Amino acid sequence: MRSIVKPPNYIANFDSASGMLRATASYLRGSDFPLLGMMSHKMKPLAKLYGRTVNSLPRQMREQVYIWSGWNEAIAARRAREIKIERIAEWMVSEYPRDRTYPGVMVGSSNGALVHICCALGIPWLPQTMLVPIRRGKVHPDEPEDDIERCREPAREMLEENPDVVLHQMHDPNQDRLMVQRMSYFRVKKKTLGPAYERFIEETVEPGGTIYLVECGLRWPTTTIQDRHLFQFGALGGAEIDEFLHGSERVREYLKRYKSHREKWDVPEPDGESPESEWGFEESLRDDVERFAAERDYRVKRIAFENPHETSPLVADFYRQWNRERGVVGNRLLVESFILMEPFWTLRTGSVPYWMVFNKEPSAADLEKYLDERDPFDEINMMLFSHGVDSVGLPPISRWEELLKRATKHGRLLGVNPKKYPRHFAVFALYHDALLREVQARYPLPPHLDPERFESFLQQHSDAYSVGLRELDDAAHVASDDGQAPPQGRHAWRRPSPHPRSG
Amino acid sequence: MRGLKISDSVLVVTGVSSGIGRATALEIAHRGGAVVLGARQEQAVRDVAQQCEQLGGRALALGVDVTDEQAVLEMIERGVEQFGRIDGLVNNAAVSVFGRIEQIPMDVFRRVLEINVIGYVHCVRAVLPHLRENGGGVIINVSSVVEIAPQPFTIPYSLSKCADGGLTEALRMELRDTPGIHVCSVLPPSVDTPVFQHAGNYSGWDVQPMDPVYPAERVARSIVRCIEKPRREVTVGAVGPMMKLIQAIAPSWGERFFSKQVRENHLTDQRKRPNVGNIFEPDPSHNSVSGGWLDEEKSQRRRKPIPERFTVTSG
Repeated sequence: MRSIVKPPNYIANFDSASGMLRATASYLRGSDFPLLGMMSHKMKPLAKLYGRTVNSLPRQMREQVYIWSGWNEAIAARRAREIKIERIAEWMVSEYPRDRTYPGVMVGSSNGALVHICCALGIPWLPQTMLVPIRRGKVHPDEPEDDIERCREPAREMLEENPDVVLHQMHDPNQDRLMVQRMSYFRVKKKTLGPAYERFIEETVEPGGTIYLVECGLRWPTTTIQDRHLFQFGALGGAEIDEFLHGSERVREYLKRYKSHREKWDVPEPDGESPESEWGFEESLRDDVERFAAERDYRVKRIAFENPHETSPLVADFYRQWNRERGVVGNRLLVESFILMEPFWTLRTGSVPYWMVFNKEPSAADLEKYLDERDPFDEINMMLFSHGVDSVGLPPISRWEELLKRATKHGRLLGVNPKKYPRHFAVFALYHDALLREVQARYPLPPHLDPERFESFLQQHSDAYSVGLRELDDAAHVASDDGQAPPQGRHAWRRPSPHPRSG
Repeated sequence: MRGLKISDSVLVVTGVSSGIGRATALEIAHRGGAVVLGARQEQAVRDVAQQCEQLGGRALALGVDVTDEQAVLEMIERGVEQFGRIDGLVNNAAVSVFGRIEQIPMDVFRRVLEINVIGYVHCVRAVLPHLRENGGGVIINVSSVVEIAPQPFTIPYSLSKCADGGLTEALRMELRDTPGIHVCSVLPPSVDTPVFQHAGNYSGWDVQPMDPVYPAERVARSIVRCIEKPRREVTVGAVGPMMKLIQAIAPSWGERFFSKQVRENHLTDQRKRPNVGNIFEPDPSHNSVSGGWLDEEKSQRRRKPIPERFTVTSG
């Protein structure tokens, strides 16, 4: 049975943590994931009508609707004291079924590929990072200092009420240009499990079960605003860190396109580096998990990687092998992006999931590299996130269409109108039906795998992937794609791994 | 329920060397379908394939023992290689043996169940992933009216057909998560096929089909109609419904009646030495659709006009 705890009205729905939690929990409840898990199947016709209506609006009106929908999820800055991270945690654990025990649980970084592993193993995932959008007065997206000043006091109040978190205030005028005009992004990282998570694990994880820490080592330059309050300018996506901090031709063109008064951003000087606000793992949580596990006799294993995309080839290959064992005769790839994912129908259609962090050129390059290095797929079906902005590093739709041609039989965009992309917001209502309609194959849901099956796979193929299965006391970081350990020290921030186009 | 368009479909048919299987393969080919043909006698299967192609269909001929799971899997793989996909299965390969339960050797008893039940299971398991991949298809399990009212003196066969009925129903329930796959039972009555010549016999008496006897072509047409418009269960002729009625309203009387019918009409007064028939090795004699049981008058009444080439037999 699932307990009905309503989510607090300040949790962002269009976020990696809430989206991926809903995807995982839906699967464990035996359900699929239409409408990003925010509404039931019954609402689909209405959602599609709404989506199509929005799509038919002129571009600027569509953007305003998108802005408004995000603003609607935000909490007013003056009410920051009401934000209780434990309240969010209580909602999150309530999404999972309680009528069973689990052999383990994943805790930590958001990662779409690992959602599929959670589903395969039948275990929950508890996010470390949660997005609380803050509604504030209008700020020009290219003036991050204004965002900092507007949120200094609300941040302090929120942190007073939540002593066991670190706030990463993120401002990305590249990908979130529409939203940051009216909203600040408070990405809150738990330093401890907290009562809700601890109680959930005690009540549902089998004695001797395993806590898997999901540790994404991605880091980003940050500026310390106050105690436990960091500011991050930019985010993982199409633009490089250097471009955010020092500008580039692409940035100049982008700002000109959006009629900005700036040719490059005036960014607060970073005074260090920290876990990237959305994806990075705050290491203090590890100490608390170690304490908790020792007290209650759980195993702890660390799944460590440097960049969120690094899990995708591993998970795809794991599923490809598993599908063969399940007797799936099809050979199809389902490409997902951000929270546009569908673990239930991935398995029901006998698909291999390949998760992309977002819809930017580095993700396209990663997918291309994966396709270059693997046996071809007969079918490639793609669910492409629409975020409403022609941001730096956004490839044209033709780039994706070229990748779809790598399928030997059929390559398809699911629910996406290429002419309206990336402002095709109806995709959030259409992707699900498109998947069910275009992919006819139907396989039974398989029994959950023993977690040791995944651990063995990781251990046996440790040389092939940039993902390591570590003990608690192993070295903190895994070598990245380029084989280099991350540099240490002030200003020595780690850039996202280079993504060279393959030949 | 929506089924398959025969002319666009690829269908696996087992037990094609004679009788219902052979007639069904020819009917499908006549309608323009493609058939993957399996039976133990490779030459007989090739003959059927040739006839299918003469009738306008496409055919792949394979010698297969359905009790060999690997051989069945290879048959399906070859079918997919040849035609690109599989759309349906007519599970038909079956044998029979006559005698009292204590007369029939246990190895013969087991073998009948292996062919008639496990053979069906092997074929379903081999075909199912491909139907799942298509999102739909049709599985026809050829059973018998003895599933409704089991017969004495042929318990292994009766047992196997009851099991086939259970397979059909239970499989249909399992496949509710893939509504495009239809699982159907066809229950023929006494049919004019060589099964009576091929059957093992430990009863001491020769056997013949009980009246009324139906042509195999009629059963084949019922099977093909069921592929096109799937139904849960199809009985051929009036015997099946009559048996169901008797079982429902007067089961005890039914048992006495059918028991008497079998003794007086199924077993003849001609003595016969015990023999294993085609239970372990195929019998190359009587590789034909008909077993020659219908006299000309009855045959004309019960058969619809068929293309002349349909009646070519071999063996």
